[in-house]
Amino acid sequence: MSQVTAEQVRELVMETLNLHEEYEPEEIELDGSLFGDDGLGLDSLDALQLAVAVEEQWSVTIDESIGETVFRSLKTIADHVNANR
Amino acid sequence: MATFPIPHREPFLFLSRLEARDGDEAIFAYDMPRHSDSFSLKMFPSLLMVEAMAQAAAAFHGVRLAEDEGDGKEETGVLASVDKVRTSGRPRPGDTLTIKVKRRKQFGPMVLLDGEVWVSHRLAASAEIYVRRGAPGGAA
Repeated sequence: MSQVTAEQVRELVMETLNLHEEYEPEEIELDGSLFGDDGLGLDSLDALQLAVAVEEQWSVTIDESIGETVFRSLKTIADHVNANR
Repeated sequence: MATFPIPHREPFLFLSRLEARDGDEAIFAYDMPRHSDSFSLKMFPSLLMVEAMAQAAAAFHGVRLAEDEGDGKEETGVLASVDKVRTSGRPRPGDTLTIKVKRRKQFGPMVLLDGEVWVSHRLAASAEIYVRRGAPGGAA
């Protein structure tokens, strides 16, 4: 099974959260923060929508107890998916 | 008229009773009045079916918390978002709406529920309902 890349995660994030009108893909850094003022500024609603999208796309669950760690960046999401497929 | 753990009241309450509850699923009913002093509706608008699903989701969230996680806190659900809304029919005065909600996932303070409105065994509307834990007007 091929590895999921951070670029694939970026596409899923942009599609799920309708970010295409606000950002070009390269504007979202693969290891940049997704939440908080120093990142994309995503919120708790976005986190739930992303958790559902990842589950539907790659059949990998993200438990809320590790959500903060997994959702640190696009790369950490890809790492979690690859470790749990 | 039954009371539910949401602030909505007549005439903007679109739940008449909780008919069934099984784990993460609940079924509510709403009897659309034949005559109303407040509304002169010939049909129940699609937007109000979305509102009915949102009320059911928030009420179920509150009922579930009270029964399963009862800790004395006054907490209910606050509508955060709706998505993937589909409507395919409009109830008429006198119809009974069957409103089904199913809790699909919780992540942090947010809860996702699938909502459906059925009228006479026909699916009239469906939507994804996002509810935020917390009291209306207060911090979660």
